[in-house]
Amino acid sequence: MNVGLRPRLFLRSLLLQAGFGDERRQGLGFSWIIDPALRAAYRSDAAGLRAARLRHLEAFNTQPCAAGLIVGACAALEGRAAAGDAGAEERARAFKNSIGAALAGSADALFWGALRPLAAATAVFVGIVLYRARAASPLLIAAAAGLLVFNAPALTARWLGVARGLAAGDAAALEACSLPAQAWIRVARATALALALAAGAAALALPEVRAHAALAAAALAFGAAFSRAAGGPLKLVAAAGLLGTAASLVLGWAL
Amino acid sequence: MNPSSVLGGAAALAVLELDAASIGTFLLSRPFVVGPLIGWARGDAWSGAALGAAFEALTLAELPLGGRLDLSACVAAGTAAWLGCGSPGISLPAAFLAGLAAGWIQARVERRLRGTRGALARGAEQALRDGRAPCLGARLAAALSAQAAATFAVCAASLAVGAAVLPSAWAALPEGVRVGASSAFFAAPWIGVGGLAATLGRRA
Repeated sequence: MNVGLRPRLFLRSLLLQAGFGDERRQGLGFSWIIDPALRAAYRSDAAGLRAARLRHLEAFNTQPCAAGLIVGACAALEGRAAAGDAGAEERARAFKNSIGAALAGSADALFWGALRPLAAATAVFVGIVLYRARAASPLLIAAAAGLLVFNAPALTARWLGVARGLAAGDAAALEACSLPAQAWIRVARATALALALAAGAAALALPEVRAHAALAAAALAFGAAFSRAAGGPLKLVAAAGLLGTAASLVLGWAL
Repeated sequence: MNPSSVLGGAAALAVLELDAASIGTFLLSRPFVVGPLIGWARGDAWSGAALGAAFEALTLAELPLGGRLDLSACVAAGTAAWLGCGSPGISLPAAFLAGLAAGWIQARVERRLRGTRGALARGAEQALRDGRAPCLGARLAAALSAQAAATFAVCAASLAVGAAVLPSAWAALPEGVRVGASSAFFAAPWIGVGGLAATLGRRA
């Protein structure tokens, strides 16, 4: 396998969703990512290259951070198919479709449902703490902390995914399944929850907010109680606006 | 209103917005980054951070599963921060509402774009069947360019209209409506954090 392939696949995997559409989802991006591997594998077989390119233009969807493993494994399987392994071509197609959906379940929960809230909670908490401590450049440090919390594991997963996929082919899926992803998700969610509540408590102590602490606490409880039933917080914010208007008109209340 | 500032702000948001789904994702397009960044560029990073925190809390529990898109958090936070920071006569609650509107419009525009991208893959397939090069990189570049151009157009229009109309429109609103908008802006981050805490607690 081409020695420069791993960094090329990794870098290209960052554009998996550049052509995201309703019809093929990430299919166009995936075909562009894997193209250097296909060209290397089928360098003396133009018909094979064309068939492989058509295979990978099919609809595909997974969590972007989990895509590295699928890209690497499919590249390895296409290499075997080009070398004469009769079953590798079909295994690549089946692997891509089945593992794409399977990995997306855990990876969505980890990266979108746990690490993204953790990153935001970290940024807000760090920002408020540094602001209260009158530290230099609190917003810059806060944003950097949030970005680090998400990007360190996300980029590691992409890089190692490509590497393990290239090395082990479809067997890399078994390695991925053996990872303690559920434990990581639980820890990240619990930490995000603790940091979000700590950030809220720290914000309540700010002089700018303290005067309306009771209102803030009521809004927080309102959000906790009804966000799910309302299908998200936006409708509740609209309701808060209507309540404020009514209170102003009826009671002469002002914020 | 300074046209070069409007165009510069729209261009910055068009580039940052690519991170939301198209390139990365590195979270550079999240409101906790975009709000303070645009606020800093406009001379008031803390107001930008307050607006960013509000939009971050509102959109954080929304998982982008299967390409779901209800509100563009990047465009909402960026538009609000640009309008609310360094624009005389535009209060933060007014900028918050303008940001919500811009983010809502951007989400609809992007949904339309996603509906048209199937043609790019079909074109590549047809090229391969005809024995031509599929030009995959050029097709992805076309998709990225269209995305950035659409975001630029939405942001430039939002910033120009907001800067021109908001100061007088806000002053003309009845007091009760202004109080309602201020209540919504004040409550937004707390409602968002409450919802997020309940979601995380349930899942954890």
